[in-house]
Amino acid sequence: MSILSSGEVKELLKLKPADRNGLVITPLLDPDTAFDADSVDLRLGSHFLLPKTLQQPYFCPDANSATALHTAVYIPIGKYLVVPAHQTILGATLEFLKLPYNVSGQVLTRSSVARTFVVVETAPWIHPEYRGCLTLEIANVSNTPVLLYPGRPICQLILMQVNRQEPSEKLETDYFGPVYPEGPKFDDPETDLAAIGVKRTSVIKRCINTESGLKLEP
Amino acid sequence: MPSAVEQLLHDAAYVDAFLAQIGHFRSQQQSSQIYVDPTTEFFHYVKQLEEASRAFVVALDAGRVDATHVGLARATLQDIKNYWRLLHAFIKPAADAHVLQVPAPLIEFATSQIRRIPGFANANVVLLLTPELMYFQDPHTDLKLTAAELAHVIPQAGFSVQLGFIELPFSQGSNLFTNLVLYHELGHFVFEELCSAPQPGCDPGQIEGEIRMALNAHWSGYAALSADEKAFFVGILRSWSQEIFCDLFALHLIGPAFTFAFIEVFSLLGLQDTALQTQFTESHPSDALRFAEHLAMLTDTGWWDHIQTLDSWHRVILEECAGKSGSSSLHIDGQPYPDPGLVDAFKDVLPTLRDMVRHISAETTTSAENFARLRPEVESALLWGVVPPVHPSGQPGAGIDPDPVSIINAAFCFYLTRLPELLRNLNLSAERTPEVQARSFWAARLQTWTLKAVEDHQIMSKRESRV
Repeated sequence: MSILSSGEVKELLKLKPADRNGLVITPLLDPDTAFDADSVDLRLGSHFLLPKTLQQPYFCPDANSATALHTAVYIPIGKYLVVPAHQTILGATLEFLKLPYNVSGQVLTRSSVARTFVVVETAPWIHPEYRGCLTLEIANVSNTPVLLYPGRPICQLILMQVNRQEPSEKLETDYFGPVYPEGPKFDDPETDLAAIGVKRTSVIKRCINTESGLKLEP
Repeated sequence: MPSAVEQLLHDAAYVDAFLAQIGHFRSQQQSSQIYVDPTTEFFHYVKQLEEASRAFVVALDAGRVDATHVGLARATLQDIKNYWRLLHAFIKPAADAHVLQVPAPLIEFATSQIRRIPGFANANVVLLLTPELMYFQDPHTDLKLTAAELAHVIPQAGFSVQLGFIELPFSQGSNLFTNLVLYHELGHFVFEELCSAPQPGCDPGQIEGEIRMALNAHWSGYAALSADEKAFFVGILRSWSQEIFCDLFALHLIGPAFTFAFIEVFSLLGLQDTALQTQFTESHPSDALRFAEHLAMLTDTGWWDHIQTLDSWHRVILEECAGKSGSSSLHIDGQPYPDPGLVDAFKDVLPTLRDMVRHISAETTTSAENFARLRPEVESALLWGVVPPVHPSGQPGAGIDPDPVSIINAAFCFYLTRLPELLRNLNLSAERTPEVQARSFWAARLQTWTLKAVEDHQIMSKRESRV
């Protein structure tokens, strides 16, 4: 597996979007400065998911999690979002990406951003044929609130050749084509574990105390 | 019995509290949501007027208003109340229409198109979310006149811009395709503004004269009608004229995607009943005549050449419905009404309406050739789940291409004809994803890709104009 040079990346960008070998990064706002020898800078988009205060004292990664955790927020280019100290948010790249069938990608925090103790992306791997704006898990691990400006470079994309002869017949649809940051998608834990033969799975259900005793909340 | 001054102070205190409450609501909304520029400017206007109105009300102090001036002060206070009663109706629906609830890039693009029309450089159209399943333009002339009256006392009440209001059904949210119907409502805004400030070659007053001439020519009994009756029938033809003007205006600005959106929305409302297609009412011309005008305009502007073979029901509905434009029936107050010649008279007015639209939208008319050239590229990107790049083939610095109108029309054509092909390219489990659900999900995603391309185009355009 070799890392693609900026020259190779630019050649892939010249191919048509529908070409399975083609790379798309759109919009490419500043092509003169976006490319490094082995990476492409990506900018922060305007859509965010901010953590909600949950009704229950825990979070369970189950089928309801995508909508339970976050509140959608839009910050236009030219304005900023304050990320409090030790807080996490989900953002997305301004750029929509389409990876060729034989190229993987990795997203890393830009070094200048990392030195403010803002960490971008903890699940940085991008599979071949991925399409979409990348959802960025952004954590402010510093002791001070930090301002994030949509439109500014925030991370860098590194592309790597994969030894693969043929594109997939059909495109995988998990996390396919998002334009806004997306919350996590899970099945219920009992469903996941049933697939490996687990018949009894502990789950937490909320109860309400009624005149006739404790009852499970619907 | 309290004195007149006491009554005035009581009244003023109540108005002050009322305005404070509106201000509290507005600032709370503005601090928690982001709005498109026209709404932000509207709220700025509301804020300034709140402050000026409260300053006036607070100044009605017992020490300053004596018994001789109470009458004048009460009259002014009444003017303030009257105006705020009108304005009140717009604030909450405008606050509901924040950027996450509307197709913001489309609104920004439409606003930029309207501002290119001669005389509309300062136009501001505020979006409102309505509980009705229908699109409306709220007539704003009364509001403007009332504001102008109040501006004699409170200068901040006067509109500094051409301010209009358009209502979108809340359920359509950030949909792109159905919300294209708002272009028709933008036409109503432009028409209403033209009534008070005509532009060269586009004077709605001219239509009024033509309507009277046409009625005289096609209805032998028209001359013998009373003045009220004449006004009633002229009013009907004026309404029909405005509807056709707005349809043609929308087609000029956004192309056939407007017709497709119109069909989409009206089928949702169940208005595609074939029995109603030739029916004229006191407010609207028949769908058949409207579609015939759509078809004529699309042919005239070259769009039809590129979509006449579209393998879609929407194209079939357009052609079939337009083909019925020779038939008509008239209903007034929901009852059948023998047509004394209104429809024939109206047909005499149509050429003037077409000319007016051509004139007023000359700077914003879209290119069918550009669409035809770029459609294959846009569609092939969408077919593989890719946002159409704003620089073709990814060549950095190659310019901004394709344009939003081409993107939107190509995406709409794709939606109407090739969605199943997109689904075939995706690994969808038939068991877990029934086809209707899959179509619904991917149609929504297709619209976000299209809106993203429109937004990218705007970001790129702004960058190009600044650098």
